Amino acid sequence: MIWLAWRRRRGAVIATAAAVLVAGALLFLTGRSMWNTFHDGGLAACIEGLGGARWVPVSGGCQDEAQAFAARFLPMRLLGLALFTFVPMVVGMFWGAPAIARELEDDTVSLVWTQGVSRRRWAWTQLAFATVVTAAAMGVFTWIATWWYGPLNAATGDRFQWLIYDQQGLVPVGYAVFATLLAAFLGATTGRTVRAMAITAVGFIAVRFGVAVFWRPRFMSGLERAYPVVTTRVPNRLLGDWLYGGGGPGVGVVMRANGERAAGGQRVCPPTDPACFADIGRDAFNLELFHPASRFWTFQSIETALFLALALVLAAATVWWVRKRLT
Amino acid sequence: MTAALETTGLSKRYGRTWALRDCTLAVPHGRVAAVVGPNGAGKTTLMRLAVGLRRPTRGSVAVFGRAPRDHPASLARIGFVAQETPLYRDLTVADHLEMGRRLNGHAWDRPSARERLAKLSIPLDRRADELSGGQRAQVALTIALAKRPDLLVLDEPVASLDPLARRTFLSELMGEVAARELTVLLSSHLIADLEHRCDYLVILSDSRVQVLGDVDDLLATHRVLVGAADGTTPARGIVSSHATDRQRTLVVRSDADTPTPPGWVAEPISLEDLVLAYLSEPDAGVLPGPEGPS
Repeated sequence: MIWLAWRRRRGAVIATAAAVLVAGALLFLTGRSMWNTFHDGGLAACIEGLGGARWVPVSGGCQDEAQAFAARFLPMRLLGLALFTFVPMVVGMFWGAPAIARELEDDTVSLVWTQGVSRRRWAWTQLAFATVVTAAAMGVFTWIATWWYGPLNAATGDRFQWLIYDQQGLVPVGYAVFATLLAAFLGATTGRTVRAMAITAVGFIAVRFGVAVFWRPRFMSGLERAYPVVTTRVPNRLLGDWLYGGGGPGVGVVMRANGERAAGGQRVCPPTDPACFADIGRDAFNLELFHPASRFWTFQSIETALFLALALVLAAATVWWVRKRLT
Repeated sequence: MTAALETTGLSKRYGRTWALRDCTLAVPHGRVAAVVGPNGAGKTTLMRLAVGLRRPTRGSVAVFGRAPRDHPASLARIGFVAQETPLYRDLTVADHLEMGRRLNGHAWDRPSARERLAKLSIPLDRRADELSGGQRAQVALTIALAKRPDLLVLDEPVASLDPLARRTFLSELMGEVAARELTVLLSSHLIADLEHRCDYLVILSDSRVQVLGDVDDLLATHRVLVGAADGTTPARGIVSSHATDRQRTLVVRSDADTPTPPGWVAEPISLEDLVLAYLSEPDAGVLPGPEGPS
């Protein structure tokens, strides 16, 4: 059974491996130049010098160096965003959709279902093969992408941010496996490869969006951090905490001393500039709701497990459909 | 003895359309049964139900006494060649044989499969999408036969073949039938191909069984009567009637002992004429009753 899956799709396996190789080579070359600049430009040493401090002086904390670095590699980062966001979906779609649907379209099921294997075994093998290939391809790709993001993560502190978090660590593999089995399920139920791909795109984006925006912030309860508006030290943004509450990504709220919300965002005023805080009072404070950077891998694990569980449910549903409904 | 294939009230509905209704039949072991009927009469549905690819909406189907869908083991006794003889496009002929060996275990008869293909000079390293229609059909038949089935189900296997390839295919098939105890269910709308090859006939019409029986019995109980266009027609047993300006041709149910009505000339009937007579008159039918064909 596995032999048949391999024999039928070895061309696609080789094409996938080649695509990973090419993408990996491009990431390696651009990533190496980023890493070199990161070290040679002194940013690495500067961050090292902070020693992971939670608080840094208002006009210190390597911010100028980090901003210069981030600005220089901004095009690279945007390119990465554009490219990587849809890679798990595309890989999963191309491996999952034909797994069952192609055989229904060509009616080769009437050949293979009348041999000496059960439909159950046939279906599980089809799914397992597609899943293993996508997981392996995505695993290698994500491993390189995670390394590639290293300097950008350090220079921006937004490894935990929406869309950046989604492209490194473990989650891309979970997304790809989910996309594969979603596409396989839709392929089995619609019997059409192309239609399954189209619906997969819609469903995948909807689920990904829903989980990322509405569920991910609630994986664990967030921490609160308050510090005065009139201050000389601020939280170290390069640590990579995820500020998800308040007025928007990466933004907290400014509170009056009596606990009323004054504005969104952050305000930092030197004690020597009363005009800066005249409207909200000297005792106003910044409030941030955040997940500390140390939770990154916990969140990655939770989200990956969530998508793998969804994938497993879809796999079981696909096998059930093949056995009971394709009549 | 259990029939090779037995159906009782077998019905299949797709959405709101009945593809097959109340089909009750039994094909005895060792017979070559032809399933004929117009397009859409339910031939493919009957065959797919017989090999477990479809599940009945109502009624039951049994192959050697067991429902093929619920007993994967009985699949091992069935060889099936689907319409359009689907094969894996990218796989070579040798790959298909290897697939059969891996999926069927020790029942798989590799030497005879290779021998068959060699005899037909079908190259083993040729990809399925590079084969001609006739070669594809032969490869599909070879895979079905290499399982050493007791029941072979062939859905329009020769529909897309040229006359020569058709003859080769059918004589190959008949050779296999002669060589071993094998029951065959074969559908075709090329009735001439079935003559002298089938000994059991199933005519499906409008999703129902119209005629069912032993070919020899059916031929013995039907005759063609030719007479004047304005002659008096016999009162009973007319299946079909066709008239030209001068002459009328009837297909009637009557055995050799029945006297020929005056003014008519009786001729023996061919299988093709018999089938066409019933296909042109969907309301006429022969089903086995308590006293055989009535």
